[in-house]
Amino acid sequence: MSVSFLNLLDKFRPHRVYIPSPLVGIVQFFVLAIFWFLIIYGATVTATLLFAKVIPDLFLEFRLFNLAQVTYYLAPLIAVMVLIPANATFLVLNERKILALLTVRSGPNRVGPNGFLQTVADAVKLLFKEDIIPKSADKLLFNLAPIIFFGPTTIAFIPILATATNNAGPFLSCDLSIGILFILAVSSIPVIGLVLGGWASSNKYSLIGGLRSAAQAISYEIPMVLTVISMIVLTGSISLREISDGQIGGILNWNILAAGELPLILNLFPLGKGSLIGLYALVLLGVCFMLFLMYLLSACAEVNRIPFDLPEAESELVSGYNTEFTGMKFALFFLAEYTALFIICCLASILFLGGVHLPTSYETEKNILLLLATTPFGDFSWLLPSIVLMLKAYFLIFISVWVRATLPRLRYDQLMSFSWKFLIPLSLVNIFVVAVLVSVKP
Amino acid sequence: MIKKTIEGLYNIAKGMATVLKHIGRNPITSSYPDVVPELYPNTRHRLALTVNPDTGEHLCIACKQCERICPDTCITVIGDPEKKGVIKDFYLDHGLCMFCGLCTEVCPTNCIINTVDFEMSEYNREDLIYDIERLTLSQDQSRFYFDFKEIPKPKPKPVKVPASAATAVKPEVTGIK
Repeated sequence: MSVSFLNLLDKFRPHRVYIPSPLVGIVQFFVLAIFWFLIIYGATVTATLLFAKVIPDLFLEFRLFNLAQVTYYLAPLIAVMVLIPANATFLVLNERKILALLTVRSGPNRVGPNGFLQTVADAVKLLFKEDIIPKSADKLLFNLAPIIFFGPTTIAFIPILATATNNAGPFLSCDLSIGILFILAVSSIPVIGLVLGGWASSNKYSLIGGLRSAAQAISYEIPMVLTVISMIVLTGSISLREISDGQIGGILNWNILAAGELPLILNLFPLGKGSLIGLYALVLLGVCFMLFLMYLLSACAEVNRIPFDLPEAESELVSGYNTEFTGMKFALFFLAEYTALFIICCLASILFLGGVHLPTSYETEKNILLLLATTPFGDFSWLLPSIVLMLKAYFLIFISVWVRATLPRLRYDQLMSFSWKFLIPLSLVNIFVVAVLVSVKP
Repeated sequence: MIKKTIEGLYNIAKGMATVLKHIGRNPITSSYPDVVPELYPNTRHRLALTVNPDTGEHLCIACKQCERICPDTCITVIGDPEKKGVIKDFYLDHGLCMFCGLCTEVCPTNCIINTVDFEMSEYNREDLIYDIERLTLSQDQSRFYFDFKEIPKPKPKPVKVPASAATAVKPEVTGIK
């Protein structure tokens, strides 16, 4: 009913200060992250086990061999379908909390302890919203646009799953020998979803917004693919697993640090015949680092991430492609954006940051793997590579959120000229330089 | 152009380092329902009638100055019909009130004051009309507010002098002859 009169003396209400000391914010965030990681891992592992062990065993008992095999090979798909939404759910919360930490705020902290159920609340809210289709919108295309945007980003994760779990169990079938090609090809399909979303909204601003975002996506795909080609030339294979295995054995073998040739820099100093080799290593180091930066830039632009997110800018959303989408369709666009970011960070960490291997020597890693493989509960050796890959990918995601907290967004013409006039020539020059370096390898 | 690139990258890196320096800081957000904001003494929130902090008698003398000056006409003062200077009923509609503080400025006895309480939500508008029971503060609360706002305490009423002594002292009136 009415507020109690004793509230007048507000001095007497207990003052509970929310965060008592500075670093507690970071610690609370890590607790949140670990908790969500447990949920993501638990869900994925349960789903995979269910489809790879429990159900096929059930079928085998009834002697339905074909069904058992089909279910076994469907397991990676189910794993991806469980992993991606769970991961995107965590990513949204992750971004909001890290943005808050960087901008001296406390992020969502009401729903669930320290806000860890925030995205669940968002998802429930979006589910309950009314699904409005504009009267003159093209119904089929309007319904298809979010699906075309979300589906391929889910599928693109499958080769990464094989690398992440070191080909454990049912994921052996996902170890494509053309892994990178598959991911890049499948990532080009969502662009159609953007254009369809803009067109089917029957809204002239959405149409222009959709066309602009599609133009941005394809014009940043070119430098992204060209930098990946440089890395392929450098490492000599397209398979994700081979690229990742080429970086075993310590942080000096990582591709960002000149792919194992870094010690050769020491040849530079006693000037003489050996210094050319030092120069080779130096140039390679510079090139690799530049490739990493260029890949991150063009990949962030591909995913519509700040500072390149004009098509879906929060303040200019009225002219974006996802204006007319409500409820679950909007949720699909939203989740697909974060999933694409995650895939790009995974790919960057496989290509440049050492993949699934620890930055220590090979013996340490083999020992840990052996330890995990012989636990009394079974073979857990898939745990180490996936945790390492997740950590590296989330480190890159942290950098991406950090960039979001810092930079304003680029105007559209600045964006396009940055890609066509700067990144594409630079990446072409890089391919040439890398090719020369690889052929001259001492 | 290479120089511009390196300059650009360096400036971006400097900006990002500046942002990173804030990462462990205590959040500035005050999570409101748990933490009550510390307001200043002269914030204008809910109105209340005070009583004398020492004797406990009601300070309102039913002069109706607040009713006259209120721009929203949200105050209704009903004095005691027999005795002058004793208040019978006092209605203040917080739905109409615009919290300008004019009534608190004109009150001759500093009876009506602005408190620091702003949590006045009700479920219907009629509940926002406060009568004298809800408006009057207790003696402790009045004392708190007199100290908090540094209002001069009401002077003690002069002792009633018997009528003979009053006429014995003739006041010196040197006026217009």
